[in-house]
Amino acid sequence: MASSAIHAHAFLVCLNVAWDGTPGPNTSRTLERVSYVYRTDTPDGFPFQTEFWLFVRLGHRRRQGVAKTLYLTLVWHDDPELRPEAWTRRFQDVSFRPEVSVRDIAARADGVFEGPGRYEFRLWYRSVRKWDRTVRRRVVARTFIRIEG
Amino acid sequence: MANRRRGSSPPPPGAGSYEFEVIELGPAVYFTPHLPVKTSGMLVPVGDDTLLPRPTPGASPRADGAEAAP
Repeated sequence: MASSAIHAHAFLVCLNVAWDGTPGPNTSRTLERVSYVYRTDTPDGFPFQTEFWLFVRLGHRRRQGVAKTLYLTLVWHDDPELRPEAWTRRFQDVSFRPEVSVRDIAARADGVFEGPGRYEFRLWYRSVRKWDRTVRRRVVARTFIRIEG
Repeated sequence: MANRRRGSSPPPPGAGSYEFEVIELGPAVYFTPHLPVKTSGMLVPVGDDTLLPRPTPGASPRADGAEAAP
């Protein structure tokens, strides 16, 4: 199996990303309220719209640069209708150069969670297989949370 | 270089610097229709109320002032 051009070394859901001092590339961030299980602040409030953050640390080990457009897919694993995904959104264009081999991305997002249960955030990019030109989704990272009502 | 086995942990990144970006999630390129939003609000991490408070610098390690056993 061919190795992926991009590797995720961390992929987390949290509720806030805070920093001390002036925001910039040299200011460290703190991921706040990282958890696996969340509940809504309104009982029986589904479909529930809320804001959250995603943090991903991407690494690249090749000598030549690479550029990819990343997409994010939300999958509701306890969907009673068994739909394969809730939504897919454009995440970010990332590029690695030899002098930049690690990239941290904190993304603020809003979304609708339709019901309680397990959710998967799947980060991927489009990959074209050379011999038959088949377009596939190459998954870079997955993370899971559970939401209770 | 030896071939990596499927499922093994990702390799360390190459030598180089890093960058940090703060972004807004992009627009939807695909979504399945869902019922109208019933409520909007905040998520709450379950279990936060059972966590011990973070100790403050200089505070006694025990609330009753007793010394901890060595």
